[in-house]
Amino acid sequence: MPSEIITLQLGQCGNQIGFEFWKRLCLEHGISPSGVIEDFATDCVDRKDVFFYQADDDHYIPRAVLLDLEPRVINTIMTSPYAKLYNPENVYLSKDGGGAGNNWASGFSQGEQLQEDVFDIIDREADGSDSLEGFVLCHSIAGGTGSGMGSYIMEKLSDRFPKKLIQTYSVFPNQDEISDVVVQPYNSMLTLKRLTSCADCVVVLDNTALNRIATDRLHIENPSFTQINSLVSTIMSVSTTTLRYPSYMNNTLIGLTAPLIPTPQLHFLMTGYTPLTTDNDQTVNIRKTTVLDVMRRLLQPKNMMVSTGPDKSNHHCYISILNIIQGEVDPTQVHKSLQRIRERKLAQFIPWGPTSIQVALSKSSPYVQSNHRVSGLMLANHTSISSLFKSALSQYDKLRKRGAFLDQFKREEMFKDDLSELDESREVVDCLIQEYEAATQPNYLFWQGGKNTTDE
Amino acid sequence: MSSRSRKSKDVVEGILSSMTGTFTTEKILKEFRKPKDKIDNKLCMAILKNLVKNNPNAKSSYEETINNFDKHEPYEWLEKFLIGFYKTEVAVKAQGSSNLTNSKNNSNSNIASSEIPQCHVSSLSKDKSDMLSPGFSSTKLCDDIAVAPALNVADIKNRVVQAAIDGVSKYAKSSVSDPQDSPSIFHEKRRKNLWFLDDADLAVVQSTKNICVLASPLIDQEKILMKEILYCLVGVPGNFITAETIDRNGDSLSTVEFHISTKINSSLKDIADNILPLANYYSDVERFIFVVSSTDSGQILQALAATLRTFTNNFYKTLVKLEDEVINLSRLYYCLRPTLKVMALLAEVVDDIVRCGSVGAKVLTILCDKISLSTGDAISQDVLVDLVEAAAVPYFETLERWILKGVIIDPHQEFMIEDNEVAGLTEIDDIYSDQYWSKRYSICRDRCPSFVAAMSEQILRTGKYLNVIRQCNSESNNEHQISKKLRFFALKHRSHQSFIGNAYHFASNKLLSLLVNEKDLNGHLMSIKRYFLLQQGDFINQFMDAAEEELGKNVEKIQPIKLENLLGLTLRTSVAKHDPYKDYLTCYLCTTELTKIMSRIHLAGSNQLEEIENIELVGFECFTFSFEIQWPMSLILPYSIITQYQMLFRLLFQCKHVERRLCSAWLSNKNILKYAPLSGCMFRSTFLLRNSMLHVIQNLENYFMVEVIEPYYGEFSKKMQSVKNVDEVIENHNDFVDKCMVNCMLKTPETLSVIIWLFKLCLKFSAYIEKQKSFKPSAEYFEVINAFDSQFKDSMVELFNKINFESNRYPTHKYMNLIRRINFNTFFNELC
Repeated sequence: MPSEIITLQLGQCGNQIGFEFWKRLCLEHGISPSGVIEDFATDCVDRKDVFFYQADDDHYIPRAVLLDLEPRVINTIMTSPYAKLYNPENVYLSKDGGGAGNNWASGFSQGEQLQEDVFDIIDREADGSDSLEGFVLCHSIAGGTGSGMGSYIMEKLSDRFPKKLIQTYSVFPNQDEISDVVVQPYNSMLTLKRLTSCADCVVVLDNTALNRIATDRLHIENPSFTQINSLVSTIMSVSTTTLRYPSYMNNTLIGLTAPLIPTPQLHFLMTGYTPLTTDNDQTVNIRKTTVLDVMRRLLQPKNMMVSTGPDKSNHHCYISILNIIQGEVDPTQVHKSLQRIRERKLAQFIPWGPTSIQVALSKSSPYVQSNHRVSGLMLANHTSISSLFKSALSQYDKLRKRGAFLDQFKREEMFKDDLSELDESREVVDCLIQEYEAATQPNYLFWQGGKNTTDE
Repeated sequence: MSSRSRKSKDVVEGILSSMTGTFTTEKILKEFRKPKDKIDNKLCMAILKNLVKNNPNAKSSYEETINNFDKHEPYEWLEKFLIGFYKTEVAVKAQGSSNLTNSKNNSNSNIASSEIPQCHVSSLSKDKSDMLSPGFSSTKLCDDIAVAPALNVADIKNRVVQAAIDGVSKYAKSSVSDPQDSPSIFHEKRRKNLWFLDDADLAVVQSTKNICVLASPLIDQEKILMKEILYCLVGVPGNFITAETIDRNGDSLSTVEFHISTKINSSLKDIADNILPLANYYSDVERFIFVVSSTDSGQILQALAATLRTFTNNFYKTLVKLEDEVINLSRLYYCLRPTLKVMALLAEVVDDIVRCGSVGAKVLTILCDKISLSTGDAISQDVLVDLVEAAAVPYFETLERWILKGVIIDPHQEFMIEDNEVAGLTEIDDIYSDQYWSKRYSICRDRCPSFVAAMSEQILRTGKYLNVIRQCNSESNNEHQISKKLRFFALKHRSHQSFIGNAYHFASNKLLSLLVNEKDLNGHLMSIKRYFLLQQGDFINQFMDAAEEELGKNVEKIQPIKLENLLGLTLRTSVAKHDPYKDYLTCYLCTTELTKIMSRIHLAGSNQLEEIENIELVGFECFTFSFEIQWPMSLILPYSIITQYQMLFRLLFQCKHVERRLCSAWLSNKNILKYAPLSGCMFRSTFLLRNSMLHVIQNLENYFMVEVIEPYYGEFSKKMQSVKNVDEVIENHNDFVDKCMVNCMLKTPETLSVIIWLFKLCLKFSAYIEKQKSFKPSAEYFEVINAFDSQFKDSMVELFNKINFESNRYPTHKYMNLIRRINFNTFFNELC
């Protein structure tokens, strides 16, 4: 049972996307909602044990830990047909049940209080794996539990498992609509600091872009959480497909991640997916899906799950790209497509190191019928992601200048004395933005950014 | 006129003088051999009387002979007389009487000589062994004569009888006298005697001048000459026609030439000269038959000889008929003309065969060539077609046995397929199966007749396939749908071609379906690809996780058993557990560096090389899988192919190992960020170098696997769908492996050594930075990193140069794709 990955689902958003993710995995591996392998899925071409383990009665149990401070979402899951899928011991609800009140500080401190219980579960899971490869964390950065408790767990995880990979699927708040969570900019900033320093790889799921895609590309007027989450679950499942259907390349999480992240700081990844359709969209068939088309479309910003805003100076570039292509693909087409993209200069790359579009041809599940001949997911490390942090920073700055809504933070232990944690977080994020900016320049190697230079 | 009358006078004088002297056997015989109208009756009667006078009992036979004087030829009188005489002489003695009668019957008639070859032929055609003794009992006769009382006169009579059947008995004696002799000597004697001619005989013939004949009128001369010609045509020389043996080439090529005495009237001689070549031809043919029949010359020549014998039999029949019917020489010539032509052709064929020393299939080729040369000449063609069709019968029987059953029964080594079975090797043996396909059966081009030459490959494969099928499942029915017997029709090539074609398709389909359906060829190929070409990524990773420690050791310290256990464990726990052939996979440590092997193969041009042990190597460099291939799958996956897979594996495995080390370095790097988030910039050069290395290694891997192996495998599978026979499978598969080897740079040792060097550099680098625990690096650290950096850049430049060089040499190869991949964002442009 190699290279196991433990999934941690935190808070309302994390549990929702996690739920969708497991649903999707079960579908792809032919596992019934109760964890029993379906009759048609016994030929075993896939590798289930990365994400599942088998109980004594042979039924498959996800390596998932469900954590929340309030019972609503977890109760929904536990009353769904998939209730029996999960190991009930891995579902942890705080006894208090009051939630974190969308307060990062509250989530963080509750995480601290509950850490023993939580790490009992995580340790047990980790011990149950032969060679644990890493953790995947699903959460949003804006709320209370996912961001606050998530931050705490991330810090603890990287202490406890320094050799394990920590990957997160982090949902960034929708900036187009006014959030009912007023302290969202603070939450984001504090979480971003942990994402920068504790996580090894952050897959950014931007609600702004997801909503935009749902309305513009899928023509859904008011996209529901379920619809958005199905997009997210697609991305999550496809990005793990090379692990679950192992072939020549990219069959470990590290092998998948390491080439995408040349320097440890620059570990925020964007995703793109094509073709984007809803289940009942029949207009899809007018599309021509060759490898080149898929790869070209993946390079278009409108297919990206991150809204980066206009790049006025046009200096942003790709640090690295991994395309996971599924479907009927002739391997010889890949090289041709790469050449075409290179000739047409469809993508701009960093000037300070060798990089290319890596293409992983992946098998797809035989049990899920796709009406697309070829589909592709792009995992890209692009410097323009910094614009996302910039807008988070500016929102934070607006709020912070006014000193608004800080009372609920000051109630927590962490911020009792001062708000230096907030400032530090801002500093880290600012530094990150600078580093991304520096990465667009040829002399990135000699860039002396960060606090040290600002101090001097 | 005056000379003629003088000659007749000489004759008369000769007779008179002979009357006074004692008769020698030779003289008596000569007298009686004269034609009827030229004989001196008185002289003959005197001779007979002289013979009888000592034996009163023989009076009756003498009288009888005298009475018959007018009815028969003089020679016949003599015979009759002698028989009668002998009866009275030997009647008392009961012993051997039956034999005697028998033998007398044989030599009874004047045309006995024409009968003799006939029985000769019939007895010969029965069996080769019969050839050792002639088909008539003259030998016995001789023996009987020898035991007869040694009376003075009786002795003479005996000698007369003996002389009458002179050649035959001599021939018989000589053939019987030394049966123990070696074939060549035997052969030599037989050849000499074939024409019943002996130096002594010739002397006898020549000593007498047939003055009376020469003196007789043309019409008489003609009659004598005709008789002589007829005798001569069956091998009995006469007075005027003499035979001369000419040794053309020392041994078997000697021929007999006939000369007509110049004393014969030239008009007759001219006609006779036209006929006499027939005797030459016949002698050639007969000698050929004789030589072939008497030696171990193989089935094809035997069959040819048998056919030729039917021709000679017909020839005798013609002669017998002519003797009775034909009255003059020109008529004889006219009647013999068709025969002359046929016999000339036969002689030509025989001569060609003898001259080239052809045996076996070559004979068939010569005959077929002759057929095509004689296009337009229907008669010759018919004859040749008869010959070749008959001669090809044994060959086609062998061929049929081969293509329908896969069996070779070929005692004379005539068949085109040779079985090179090596004794002592069992069928399961590695070497055996490895070489089976290429070495076991081979085509011997010399033994391949022209009419099947184009199909020789098919023929070879047909039997080969059948043999494999038989060895695989003895119980399977190899029943052919083809019931028609294979025969050769010289003018209808299609008939045997389609037969061979059908047999071939049957065998190839059978074997292909055996390999594909019963023996699961595709499953084997998938397994090979899964393990040797690292397609089963999780298995490889898991195995590397498990064996990392062991393989990191020096090759000498590795415990193979431990590796085997780890392999077994991994096979059982990964997705590979569903693979039916996983148990055939074993570990192997090859202690020769990959670069060395490849450069040696490159230089030597062969796969044969001894291992140079290098115990300095680390496990990862030596490790390879080994796959036990079961018969008959080893036909397609012989050891040599597995070796090539092993080389591919070693390259890919090392590449994978380097990638994993670099990833591990990446993992350790990330902690730098965690504990000293702001010292990241200090390590940036390390990060970037590591990233460049990882980029190169991963692209190398991607290139190997996605651009080389996968597309070529796709190509191969596509071909496999329409594959018709096993040889095509082998060919396609070898082609696939070879393409992979070439494009994975294994066939270009210089490029390969740069790649291997790059691997080592990356390993050293990742080991160095993983050791680095301090977050405040020393100046020395940066020096080392800088050194690594420049080494890396140098090797990249070298790699690019080598690849550029190679791709200029071989533009069809995919080498350039690698450069394009690695240098996708033109980062390396500044280096080159």
